[in-house]
Amino acid sequence: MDLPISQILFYLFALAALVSAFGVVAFRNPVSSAMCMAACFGFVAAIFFGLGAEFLGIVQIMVYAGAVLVLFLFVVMMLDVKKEEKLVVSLPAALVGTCIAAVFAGMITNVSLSLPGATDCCPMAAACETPANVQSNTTPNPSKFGGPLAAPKSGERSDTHILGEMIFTKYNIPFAILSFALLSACVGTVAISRKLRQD
Amino acid sequence: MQFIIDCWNSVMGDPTWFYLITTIAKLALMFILLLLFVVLSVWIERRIAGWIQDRPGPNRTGIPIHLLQRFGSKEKQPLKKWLEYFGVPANSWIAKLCTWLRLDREIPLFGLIQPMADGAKLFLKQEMTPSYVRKGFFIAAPMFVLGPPLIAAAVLPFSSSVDTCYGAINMCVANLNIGVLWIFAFSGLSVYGLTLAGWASNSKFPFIGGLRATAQLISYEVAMGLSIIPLLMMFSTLNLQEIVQNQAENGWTLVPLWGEGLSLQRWVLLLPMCISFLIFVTSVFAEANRTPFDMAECETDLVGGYHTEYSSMKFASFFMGEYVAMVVGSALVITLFLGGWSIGLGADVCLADWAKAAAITGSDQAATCWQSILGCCAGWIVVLLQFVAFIVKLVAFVFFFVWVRWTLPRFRFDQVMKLSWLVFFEIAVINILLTAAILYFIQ
Amino acid sequence: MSYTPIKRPKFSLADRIYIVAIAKGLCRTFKHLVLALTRRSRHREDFNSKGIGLCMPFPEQRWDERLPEYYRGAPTLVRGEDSRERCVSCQLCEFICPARAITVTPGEVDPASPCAKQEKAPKEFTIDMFRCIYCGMCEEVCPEQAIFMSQEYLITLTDRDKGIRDKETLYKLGGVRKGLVNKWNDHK
Repeated sequence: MDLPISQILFYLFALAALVSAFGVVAFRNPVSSAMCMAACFGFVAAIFFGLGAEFLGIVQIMVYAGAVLVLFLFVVMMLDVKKEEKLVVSLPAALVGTCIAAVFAGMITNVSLSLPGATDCCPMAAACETPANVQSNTTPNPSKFGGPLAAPKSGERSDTHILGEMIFTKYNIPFAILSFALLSACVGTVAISRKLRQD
Repeated sequence: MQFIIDCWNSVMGDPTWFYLITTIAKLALMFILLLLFVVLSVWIERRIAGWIQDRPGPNRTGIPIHLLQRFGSKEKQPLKKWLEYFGVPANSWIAKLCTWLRLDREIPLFGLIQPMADGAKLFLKQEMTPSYVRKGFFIAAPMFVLGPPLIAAAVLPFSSSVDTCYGAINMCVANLNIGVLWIFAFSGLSVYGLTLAGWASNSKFPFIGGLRATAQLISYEVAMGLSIIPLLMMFSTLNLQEIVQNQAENGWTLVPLWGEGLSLQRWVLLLPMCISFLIFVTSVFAEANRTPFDMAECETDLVGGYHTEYSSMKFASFFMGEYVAMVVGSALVITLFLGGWSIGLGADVCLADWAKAAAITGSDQAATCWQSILGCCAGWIVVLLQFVAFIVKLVAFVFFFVWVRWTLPRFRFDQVMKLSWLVFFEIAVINILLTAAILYFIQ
Repeated sequence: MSYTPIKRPKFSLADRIYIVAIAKGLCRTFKHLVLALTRRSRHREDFNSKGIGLCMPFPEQRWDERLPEYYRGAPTLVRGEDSRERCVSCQLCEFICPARAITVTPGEVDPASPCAKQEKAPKEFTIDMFRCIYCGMCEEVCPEQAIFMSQEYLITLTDRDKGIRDKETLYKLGGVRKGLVNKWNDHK
């Protein structure tokens, strides 16, 4: 058995993320599902941390677990839980759902197999070693999952810098377009939810 | 003896073990510090509430002397015996002072035992779980409230780093490059606890309390995050240790009186920094659910808010979580705006230089015994001084928290939401643009 | 019009920014804090208080002489000036007591005694001080003016049994009440 702690941790978190993701669909109680989703976000963030992408990890927690999902929970609590728990799944709906899930799973598998180092023991750690989408010369290079005990070294740029540079230089236009799309959605929601005055 | 030293050297010489041991030590220190501060801030809260309302507050709770008698000491009046033992006459001012401090009856400690007594009471209380609650979430909710602030405290630097012969120790449990975001993320997570407590209690007042808490925390998270951006633009780092280091060298954010702080740019930047400070402190109040923002548990309209149905240690967990959040919030404010562990007025740089010089003279062959001892300890002395500075600032800010609580009345819920979304949000965004303009135009 | 609209004052911008008001409030509370700690609180002399602020530290300094006349302490039984037991054990107090603290066992009066006309007197009369809520209903309901709320406020016990007060204790605490009740006089 020659499993470094990094790999054990990676598989542990990956497994936990999968289990909690399954819990989201399996639980009949919407609040339980939402909490499972929060746990899933947490484990994915843990994987990010292990890969040295601290910024992504913390944003995962802050934005998804901290804000988006709380809003979800907010809405879910308004539902009638007893009614939701009694809901029976119809066969055609389940079939269609399974089909969509299968297609999606196929896509994901295809993409992840084409990533560099996909056939290694710890695929994501290997993928981080040779980042395909980051062309910067001074990328963080954690040799394995967990890195050299995650202690920041001076002179090495953090992933926050790299991410910021990528977003605001190379991907600036897609980023701006995405922002505008979200903004329009926001304005649209306000416009729809606002009551029209009678007079 | 030699064997133990060899073992110690070989263990500490390994970087992994060194890192592990120092981290665990720092972790324990931070944890104890936080919990002690919870106890202390409960005491500060009650004493200061008393003083502000013209009464003494809990000043009686002490260790009664008859407790000592129960544990074997048969003396009826130990104080008199002790005074006689030291040769102090019974009517001298020392004896009078001792009597005034009630030492003849108990060891009072100014009522510092009161929080312990409260804790013991809560421990021994009957645990009531109503039959109509959602058990799992009901039990998990207090953990969600107490846990996240404790995790968030991991990135707070409580002193600068010290060089030992095995390597440098950074006096911060996890010196992450994203320290500020870490605290935001985890202090935001405690909203789960409040929401779940409100929902799982399955009763209407906790539910309203939970919903209010959720809405309030999300709103103020936004204002808090935006208000801090000018500061991050100025320091251009998210690492809290680096931010504090920068402040120690170049003047605190709000007190730029030395180093580069004397430049024109820093003085002009004081305006956006002050705005940031106001917004940030207010948001910290709201995030910690303290009056005037304690919408989630305002007893006048919600009985007890989200913890109406809780009793005993579960209630105590909510209580402690609130205080931990308060302490962590205060620590974050002083770290970002008031120089964290820095002693101020450029003293940190001088001290660091002195420690380095002392270490060099100490390691010299010609050094005297005292010089070599000083060389070993100099770094630790500096760290200790900075730690004391940090604690003093923290106590002062906790005092401010309490002071505000006993001064301001509670806001109405719509006022709270309006303040966040219609005032702070806009001002924070304008503040960011203002800072960017200052940074660009005034060099 | 069933309601009168309140005229809200118009606030200026300085008022609405609120910072000045907060600062003023903080100063005010801080002043109280400092005055309390330096023992110069307002109205301190009126209370003759020896503690911090306006506080009278309790066991050392008592407020007995300031006790208002209407103060309702523990209920007690009283005797008349003629040392007659006023209680005729009608049990109205037992009946009205919301906390069920009072238990009365009626008994007969010795026909040879001077107050034989009232026929009944309590054989036993206990008030459970653990139950009593000091509401004063017993005093209110008593047709014989036999039960009164005393000024006793300091009921601290080291023994549970002492909390249940029997007839002797109650009469001792109540003492003699001025004002003759002539209802049971032989001449009437």
